Amino acid sequence: MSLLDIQDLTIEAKQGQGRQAIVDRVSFAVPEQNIVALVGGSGSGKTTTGLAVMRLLSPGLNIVSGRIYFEGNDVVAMPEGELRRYRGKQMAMVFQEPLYAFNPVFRVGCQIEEVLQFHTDLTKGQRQQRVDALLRQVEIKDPGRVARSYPYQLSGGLRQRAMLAQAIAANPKLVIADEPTSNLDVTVQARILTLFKKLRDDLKLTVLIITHDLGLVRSLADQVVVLSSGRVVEEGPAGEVLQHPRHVYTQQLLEAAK
Amino acid sequence: MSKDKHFVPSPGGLRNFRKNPWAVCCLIILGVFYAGAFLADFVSPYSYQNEDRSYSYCPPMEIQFLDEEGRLARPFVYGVTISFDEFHKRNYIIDKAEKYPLKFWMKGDTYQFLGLIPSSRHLFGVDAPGRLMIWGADARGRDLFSRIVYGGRVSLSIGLLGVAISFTIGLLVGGIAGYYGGRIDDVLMRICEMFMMIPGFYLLLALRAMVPADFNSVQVYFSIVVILSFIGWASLARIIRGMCLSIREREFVLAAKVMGLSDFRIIVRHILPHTLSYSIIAIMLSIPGYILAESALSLIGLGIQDPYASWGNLLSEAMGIIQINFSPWILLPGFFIFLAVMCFNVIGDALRDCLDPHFQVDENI
Repeated sequence: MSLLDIQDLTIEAKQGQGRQAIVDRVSFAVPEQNIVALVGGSGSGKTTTGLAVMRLLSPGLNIVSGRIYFEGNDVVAMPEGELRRYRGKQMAMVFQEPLYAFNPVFRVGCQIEEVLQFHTDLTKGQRQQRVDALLRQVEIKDPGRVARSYPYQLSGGLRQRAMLAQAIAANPKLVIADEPTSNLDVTVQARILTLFKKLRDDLKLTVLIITHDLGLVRSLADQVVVLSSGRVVEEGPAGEVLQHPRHVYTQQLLEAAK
Repeated sequence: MSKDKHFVPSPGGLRNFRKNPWAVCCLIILGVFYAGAFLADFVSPYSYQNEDRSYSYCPPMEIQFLDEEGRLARPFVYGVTISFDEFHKRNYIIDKAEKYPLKFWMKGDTYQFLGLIPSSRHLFGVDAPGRLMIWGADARGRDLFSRIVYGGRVSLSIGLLGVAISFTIGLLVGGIAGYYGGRIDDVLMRICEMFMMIPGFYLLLALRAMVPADFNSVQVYFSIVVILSFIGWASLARIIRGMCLSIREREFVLAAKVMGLSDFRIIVRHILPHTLSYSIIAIMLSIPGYILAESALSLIGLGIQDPYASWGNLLSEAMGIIQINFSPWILLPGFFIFLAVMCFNVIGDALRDCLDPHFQVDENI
C-alpha cells in the first residue's frame, strides 16, 4: 500500500476575477520506503503540490478538488487541529536554503530541540541527548559545536544536514525535500544524496524529492513523476523513464541536462 | 560559505554601548536611583511619615566639616531655632551652641526591611533632639530627602511596571494581528485606533475618575499602573503588527509551520524575537512617558495621596508662587523627574545607535 496517494489534485489561484489552475488533476502515489522524485521546471507546480500535502498553501491558493491520502486518511478533509499532529510528527519538510528555513536568532540545536519539545514527552536532558544523536545520524562529526552554532555560522552542507536532522527529529514517516541540493556544490550534493539513501534504509523513511535536476533523479530516485504546467506528463520507475522518455517534455529535460 | 556580514544579528551591538560615555553615565545615575528606591527605608534618615511641625519649611542644613576654630572635625550639623518676624514670616536661625554629629548606621524609625525583616538601622542621621534635613523640609516638617527617596519607589517603579504590562499587550495584539492578517487584523487595528484617537491625558483623567474613591494607596498605585498601560499599548501594537506582516513571509515561519508548531508558539518564539531590537529601544523611550504621566496625575492630586510620596505629589507642594519664592528647595523632586526622564531617553538613544542596523555608522569612514 502506498504511504501517500494523491488523486486528482487540482489547486487554483485567484487571478483578478478569474482563477487559474496551478496544479491540474495531478495523481500519483508514493510507495512506502521509496524515494520518489517530482520533476519539473519552474512554475510546473511541483512545490505547490509538496506544500499541499502539508496543507500549507499560501493564501490565495486553494485545493478545489482531489484527495490526498496519507496512510489512508484524507489530508484535504482534515481539521486544522489534527493536521498539526501530522506536521512534523508524520511528515516533515526540508527546504532548498536552510539558511532561511532556520530562524536566524536561535541556535541550531535549540531549534531541533523545539521539534522534540513539541512532539515528544522527553525531558530536557533526554532531548539534548537526542539532538546529539540526530546530528550524528546525519553524519555531523562534531555535533556539540553545530548544535551551539547559529545558522549563519555553518557551511551550506552542514546547514542542510542540520535541517535534515530537524526534519527526522520526531521520527516522521514521510520527508518532503524541496530542492534539497540545488544550493550546494557538486561534491557536497553527492554526499547529501547518499545520506538520503542511508536514512531511508536506517529509518524506513519515505522521501518525496522535488527537483528539476535529472542527475539527482538518476542517482537517487526509485520512481519519477514528471510535471509540466501543473499536469503529470509521465511517471514510472526512474530507470525506465530516464532510458526511454516517452513525453516530449521529459526528452527536453533530459536533453537540457546533458 | 562566507560568513556574510549582513546575516550577523549584530552581536557586537551592545558592546558599543560602553563606548558612549553619556549613556554609561546615565546608566549609573539610574542605577543609583533604583538602588536608593529599593533600599529607601535604609538610605533615608527618617520614614516618609515622620513629621515635626516646628521644622515646617526648614531650609536645607549644611553639613559642617570644620569647627568654630577652623579645625577639621567630625561632620556635624548645627541646631536651628525658629522665630517669626512682624509679618509672621518664619526665620530659621542657626544655633551654634547646639552641635549634632553625623552618625552612620544609627538607630531611628523602625521599618520592615524588604517588607520582611524588622529593623531600625539607617544609613546616616543625627541623634534626637537634633534633626538632619540636608535638602530641607516640606510644609509639615518632613525631611525632603527622605520623601524623595521614598517617592522614587513609586515614580521609578511605575514606569517599569506600566511598560511591562503595556508591552506584553502590545506585542501580543500586534503579533496576532500581523500573523493572521485579514479580518482579525482589521478588528484589532480598529480597536487600537479607538484608543489612539482619544487624547492621552483626557483618557487618563476619565479612567482615573472610574477608580473608586475609597481605594487604599496600594490599590490606587496599581490602578494607576493599569490605567497608564491601558493607554500605552495601542501605538506599539500597530508598529509590531507592521513588522510581523513582513516577518511572517519569511521562510523560517513556513518551516515552523511544517514542524507542526502552534500559531501561538510561532508568534511568540519565532516572530516576536525579530522585533526585539526595536522593542527594547521603544521600551526605553516610553518609560519616561509613564513617569511623566504618573507625575502629572499626582501633581493635580489624582495620583498617589499624601502621606505617601511620589515625585509628582511632592512637586504638587510647589504649585504656589509663595512656596517657591520662600522655600525653593521644594522644587527638588522636579529635578529628579527631569533627571530620570533624561537618563531613560539618553539610554534609549544609545541603544538605538548600537541595536538598529539602519543607523549603524562605519567607523572607518
